[in-house]
Amino acid sequence: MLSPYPDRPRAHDGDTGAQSVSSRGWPWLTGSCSLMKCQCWQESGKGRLRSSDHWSLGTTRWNVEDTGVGKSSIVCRFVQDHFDHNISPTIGASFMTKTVPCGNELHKFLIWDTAGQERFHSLAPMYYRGSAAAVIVYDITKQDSFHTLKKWVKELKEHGPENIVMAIAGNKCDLSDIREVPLKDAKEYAESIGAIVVETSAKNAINIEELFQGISRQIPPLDPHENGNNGAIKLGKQTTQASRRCC
Amino acid sequence: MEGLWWEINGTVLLTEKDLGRTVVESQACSRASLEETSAWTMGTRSLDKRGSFFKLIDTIVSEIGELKQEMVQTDVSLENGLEPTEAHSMVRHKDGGYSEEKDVKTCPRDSGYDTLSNRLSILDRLLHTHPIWLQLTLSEEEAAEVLQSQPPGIFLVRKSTKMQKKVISLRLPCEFGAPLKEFAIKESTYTFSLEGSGISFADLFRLIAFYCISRDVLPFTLKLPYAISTAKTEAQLEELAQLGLNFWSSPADNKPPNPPPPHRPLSSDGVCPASRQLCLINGVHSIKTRTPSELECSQTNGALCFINPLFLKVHSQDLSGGLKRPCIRTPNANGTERPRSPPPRPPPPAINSLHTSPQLSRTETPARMPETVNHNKHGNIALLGTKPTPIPPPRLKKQASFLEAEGGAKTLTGSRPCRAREREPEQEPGTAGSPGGAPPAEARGNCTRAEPASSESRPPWHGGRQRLSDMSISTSSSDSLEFDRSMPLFGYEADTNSSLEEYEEESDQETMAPPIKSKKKRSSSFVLPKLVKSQLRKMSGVFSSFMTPEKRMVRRIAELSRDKCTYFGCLVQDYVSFLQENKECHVSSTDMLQTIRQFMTQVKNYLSQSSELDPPIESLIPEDQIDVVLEKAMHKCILKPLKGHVKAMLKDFHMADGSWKQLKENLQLVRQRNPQELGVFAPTPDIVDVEKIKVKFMTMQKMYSPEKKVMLLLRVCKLIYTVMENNSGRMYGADDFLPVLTYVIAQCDMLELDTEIEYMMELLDPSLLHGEGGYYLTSAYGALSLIKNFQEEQAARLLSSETRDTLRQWHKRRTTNRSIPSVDDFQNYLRVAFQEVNSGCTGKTLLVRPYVTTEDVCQLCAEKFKVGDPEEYSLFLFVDETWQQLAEDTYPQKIKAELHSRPQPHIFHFVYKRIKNDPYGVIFQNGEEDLTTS
Repeated sequence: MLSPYPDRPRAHDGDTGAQSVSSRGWPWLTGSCSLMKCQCWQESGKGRLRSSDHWSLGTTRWNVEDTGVGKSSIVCRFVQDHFDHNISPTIGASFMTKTVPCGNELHKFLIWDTAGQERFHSLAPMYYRGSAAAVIVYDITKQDSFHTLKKWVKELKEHGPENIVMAIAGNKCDLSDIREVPLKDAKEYAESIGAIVVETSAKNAINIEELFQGISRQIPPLDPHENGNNGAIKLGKQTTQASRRCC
Repeated sequence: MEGLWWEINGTVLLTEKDLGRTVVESQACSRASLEETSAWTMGTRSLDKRGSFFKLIDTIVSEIGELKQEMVQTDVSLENGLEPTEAHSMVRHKDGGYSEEKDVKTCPRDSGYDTLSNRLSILDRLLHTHPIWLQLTLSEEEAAEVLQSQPPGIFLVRKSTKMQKKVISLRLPCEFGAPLKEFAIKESTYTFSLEGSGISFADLFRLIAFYCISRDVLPFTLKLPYAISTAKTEAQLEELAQLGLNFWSSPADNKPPNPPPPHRPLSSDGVCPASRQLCLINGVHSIKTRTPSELECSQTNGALCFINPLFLKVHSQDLSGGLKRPCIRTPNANGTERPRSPPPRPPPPAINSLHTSPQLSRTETPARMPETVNHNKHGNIALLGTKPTPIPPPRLKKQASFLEAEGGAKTLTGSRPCRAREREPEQEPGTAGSPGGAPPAEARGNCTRAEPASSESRPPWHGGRQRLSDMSISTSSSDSLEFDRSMPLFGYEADTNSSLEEYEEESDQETMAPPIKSKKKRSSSFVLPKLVKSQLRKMSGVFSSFMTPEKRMVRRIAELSRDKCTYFGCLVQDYVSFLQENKECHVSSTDMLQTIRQFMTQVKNYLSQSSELDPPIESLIPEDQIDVVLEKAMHKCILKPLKGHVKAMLKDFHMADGSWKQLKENLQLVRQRNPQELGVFAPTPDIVDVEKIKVKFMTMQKMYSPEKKVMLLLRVCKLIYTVMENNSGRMYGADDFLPVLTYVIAQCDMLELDTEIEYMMELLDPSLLHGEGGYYLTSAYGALSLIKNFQEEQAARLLSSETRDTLRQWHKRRTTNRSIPSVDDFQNYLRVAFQEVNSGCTGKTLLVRPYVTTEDVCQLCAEKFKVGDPEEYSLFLFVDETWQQLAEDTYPQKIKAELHSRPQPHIFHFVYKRIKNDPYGVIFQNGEEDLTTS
């Protein structure tokens, strides 16, 4: 797998924990990339485990009775498809985590699901603030969902974190015979806003992995000076093991 | 239980069959007590059954055959009833004055484990002298410089900036080429170990202590500087430690003419050999057939081996002495030597109480039992011993009587646990009230350490109780005492004790009736069969020792925070009382919570940088855990005392700004809606579930720790999910969950939730905000906001822009706070020292806003320091060795800011003192410690 991260100086080979999470008080902050220390599985027995990125999934719903565009299914598919010993199961599907190896690093995804209904729209900023990436899901069989998507993109552009990586997922590509949104439209739009675009099928597990890998590659590497703390404060990692629930 | 716990005289060995690992537990039981005896016999019994599992134990069997028999016999004799005890206790009373008893109790233990009064273990030496060898800030060059002049084997522990980890810098002999080499220390979540070694330790001290006696991956063992290894008393060590880094260049660091084996300081009283060998008596040594270094061979990676510090000496003796372990039989022989170790005591004076208070005598008997047993064992050994050594006559006599007494003590078992329990509450206040860290341990240590002065001051029954607890089979209290003794320096409560306390704390919060609950729980424990109890106890010991460094640290910090002699203590206490007394100092609830959070973060930073924690936190807690531990400690020492106040204040704020009323009204409104109107299209919890959730929310209100509150919130959410999923079988995302959560919160109809959520959101450790807790907290906050803004006509509309702004601000605030604050920017606080000619310096942290003039500050000072003639005093700035009296219209905070902004850091202090006071500086110097930065 191609590592999206340039090899950073590894002066402190092996011991990434204290380093990477050095500014523990605010690791996930505006910079959005935060690190998790875990065990590593590299040849030396200690690789870098890092980066938990925090996602928002914004989406819209066709209408409330509808099962929606399927963002929860995408997440579930992503999280559950590959059995991962490292994740502690979360209590529900609204918040899920998954650790993905990326080069010699591990990225931990903290996926925040956002209620897409209009009435909850106003709460969205709480969810997307501080996130490194946003996945916006629409339903290729519903033209309206694509319109709503554009509203979300606009909102994110205006109020979202700077440099947020945006990914557009056209879900239900298994139903392409009743498609309303041509792939071409989506691609053009994505290009215009500099977003990743991919058509997925949560049902058939198509492109789910690719979607997240694409995002993973786009997440900027750690701010180098976030690494080099002044040394005076060594702060702990943010709970890696399953010991804690609230992470 | 798969593993069998084998506890012998201070060592617990866990053989985990499945894992094929051995953990030598650093469970510090520093004496042979009755429970040990029973553990012993028990152990031997189960050993008969499962002997095949444990080669380790097999080896012991042969070695302790005789001893075992003795023990079993004793057990049998115990069943004979009370007679012997009573007889014995009377005897004891007759011939033992109170303080004398202490003495009796103490000595065997001391000699057994070399506690301070007799001899210092390597661990003790390390603990006392860490300012010398633990030099985390030293650079490589400086370390090289220091070690250059030292003999091979001398070491420093420092933090390598290159590797970003702690290293042992070890002086090598010339033949190695390089003058020194560094060995990196690996820190995992719970342990410290050397790179390349499979042996892990609970803290740095244990690690170093181990490598002082076993080389493992090192080229040779570490050596303590001569002065340290030969120091005879704690005081001497303390004196050396005072020198800190200067030790290395001071004359104190004198080298021996020709370096003797470092670990064999000969002491004239013969204590050391005896005491060292003592450990062999119980076959511990044979257990040690697997010395840690041997263990390491069989481990591939990550295997754990906790080394019992008490055992170090035995091992060390091996290495420095014969290099070979004494042969199997030596334990017995050595055992007989043991009685020699305690200093000679005068014959016990007679006491008359025995006839007058049988009750008393009874309580005291068990109290004495641990020693009794100890003696007994040794007595046995002496009898069995192949190499009898001279034993002082009085001792001999005692041994005989103790033999009988043992039986009696057992019969008291039933009543014992109760008393042991009772003791615990007493312990708490003691701890709380004690200034500084060491005293609690000291205090308890006193009564065990043959310090008549302190023991006399206690009523006899008290002492008796303590003893009782020592023996209690089912509880952990004995462990606690043992632990204290093994780590006298720390003043920590015992591990198990603390875990118990933890439990109580929980129950405190969860049940509202902690004493009852805990009592119930406790008393139930003694219905358990003995075996189970003992096993449990051992298990608890194990778990707690896994937990200990953290809990000990939290406790230590909490103690420190109550100690006004420390800067940290002052800071915390001043802040807490300030908040409580000045209700009007915050403009809003957010403002208040934010300040508290900021204060906690700052204090945390201060603690991690300051040297007030002794030993330094880095030496006990692996680096990646430090912040977690500090955070917990902050909750305990800041939020715990403030919780009630904060709650009341929050309510006041919400009442005042109308949001309470708004929420109340809207809650009613929302409750009347049916779920669909709230956007709920998933199954909702029924009344029973809502009740359950309510209970959880109620519990949440009783907690002070935001983290624990969040845990409960997660439980509530989990319950909601369960209900949703049970009834439909599908997974629900936020689209469904948020409406249901809103509905549930409305159904619960708890106005207090609003403040609870606010409390959590503002006070939770920021790093947790991105995890699951943060997510559901955000959701709960969102749900409450929806309710608050629920209005018929608005049902499906946006929240008012005001709310949106609030939400945004909150998140921004909590997420953009990047810079790490330092102690120096305790904005709005000014540390002012008060200098009096006669009384030296005291310091106080005052609330001084940026535009408060010196005149006002003076007024404040006069009030705070209770100065009768304020016109005689003024505020001075001491900077660069000069004094400047501040003009009345200057702004101290601005001056402070200005000083901080200078390129070079200046040390400065604000001092409130008499205007005409000549010997400037002189007294000030004394108080400097107190002042640090303003």
